[in-house]
Amino acid sequence: MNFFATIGQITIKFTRAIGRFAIFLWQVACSVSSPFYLKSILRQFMDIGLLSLPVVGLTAVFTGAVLALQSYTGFSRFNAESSIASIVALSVTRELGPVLAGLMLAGRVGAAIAAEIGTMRVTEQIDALSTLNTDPLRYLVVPRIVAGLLMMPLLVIIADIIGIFGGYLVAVYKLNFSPYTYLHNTFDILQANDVRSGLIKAAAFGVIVTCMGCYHGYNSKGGAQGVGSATTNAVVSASILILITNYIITGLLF
Amino acid sequence: MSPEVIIQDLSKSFGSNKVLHDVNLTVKAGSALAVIGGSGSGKSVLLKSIIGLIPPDKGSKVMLDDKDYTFTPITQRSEFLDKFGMLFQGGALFDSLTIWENICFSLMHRSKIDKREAHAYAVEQLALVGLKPEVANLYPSELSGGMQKRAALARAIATKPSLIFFDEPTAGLDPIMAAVISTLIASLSKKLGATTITITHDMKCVDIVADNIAMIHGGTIVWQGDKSMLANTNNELVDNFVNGRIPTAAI
Repeated sequence: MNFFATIGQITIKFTRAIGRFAIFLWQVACSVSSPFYLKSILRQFMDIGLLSLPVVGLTAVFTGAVLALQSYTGFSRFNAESSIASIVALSVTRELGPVLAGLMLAGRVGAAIAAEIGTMRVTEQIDALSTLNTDPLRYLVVPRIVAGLLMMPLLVIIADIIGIFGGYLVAVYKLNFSPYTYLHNTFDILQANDVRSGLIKAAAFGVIVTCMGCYHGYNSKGGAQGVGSATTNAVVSASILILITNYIITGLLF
Repeated sequence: MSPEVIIQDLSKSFGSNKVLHDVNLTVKAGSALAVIGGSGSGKSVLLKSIIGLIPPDKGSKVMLDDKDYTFTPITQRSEFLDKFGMLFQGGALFDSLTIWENICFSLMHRSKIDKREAHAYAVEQLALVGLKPEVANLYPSELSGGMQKRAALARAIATKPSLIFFDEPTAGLDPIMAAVISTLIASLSKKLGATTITITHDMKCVDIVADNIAMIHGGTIVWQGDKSMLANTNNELVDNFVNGRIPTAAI
């Protein structure tokens, strides 16, 4: 009996959480109207886009480099070393670029958003916004989601270039490939659709990361512990949703 | 003209926990009410229910300036908020903005006031609460607790509101700073001719800021009257609270 009760409780809790998140999204959607806080949107472009560039860039360059090394180990066993450039280009643009950038953004941006909005919640700054005749969702949440949606694809384009460059460095300087052949193979295999599918994923991941950060921060309770839990939940839920959404989008665009 | 606040049968429950039971209060236009009560008596829930941050239970009624706002969430009270100001317990200044941006937040978002004009106005407001012009360019984290409270008070009165709520205005301050803030609240409210509601458990503050007092205990108003009647009340709960006596039952 206790077993079924536990299952029931978990199901109710899960359904309630989904319902709460759906209501939050609906309220955010209703808040997308004027006035638009341009200064706040630009600040988020800076925080989410520009300041994430070093982390995303570092992740991309080493991912491309490792990918070149590992594929060399495998492909050299059946004399297919020339495919390394194709593998690096396709893996980075279609899969690793958006997914790893999304996960890095979940750690850097998702956590920061949840902590900032969570602190504003527990110190009554969100209530203060309301009393100053300002819709907190329009002022705090909408600019972050817009910035996530627009900045993430830009970050992924840069991550793609840096990732391919990482593979190029290893292939040319460590594995003694011809620079011309490597680049020729890379651009020969790449199609616009490969980059496009990566950018669609990136936009979706940008929305997921910012939505999770805002949702958990906005609904945080208690003091420092509540803000800590909100931050952890934002990062964990965003990371899991990125992996699930990645599979769904890949399936749809396959 | 300052608004009148009428609260009828206001109740609020969180699950099975009934925090407010049929609270009835009337605050006449231009008067100053202090709601006193111990920790956990329902003071803050009462305040949040009146301003629409928490929806009250069915059967409640909150009338502000002859309009029924009972179930209107705060984000849909635009007209009412134009003449409303609030001082939060911890100040609730926005960390990411400077003091002058905090003070002129509402003005800058509502009217197209330019930056220089807004800065000059913020400096004027800071002078009203006894802060120097240099404070305008600092961030909240660079100010002491007392200065933050004063800056928050400047923000609360920046739109010249006719209805102002003060939530524990002296909490966390030393006795001298508490007296300074209470005196500022009383003088600025009088100057604006505003209706005020102050939530506090600091009787010195009550003495300075209020004309009328209501005591809340266990979610119910157990006493309400003029400040002068407080000393001669027969109500044991009020007497114990005002004089800091521990009730016999608690011993």
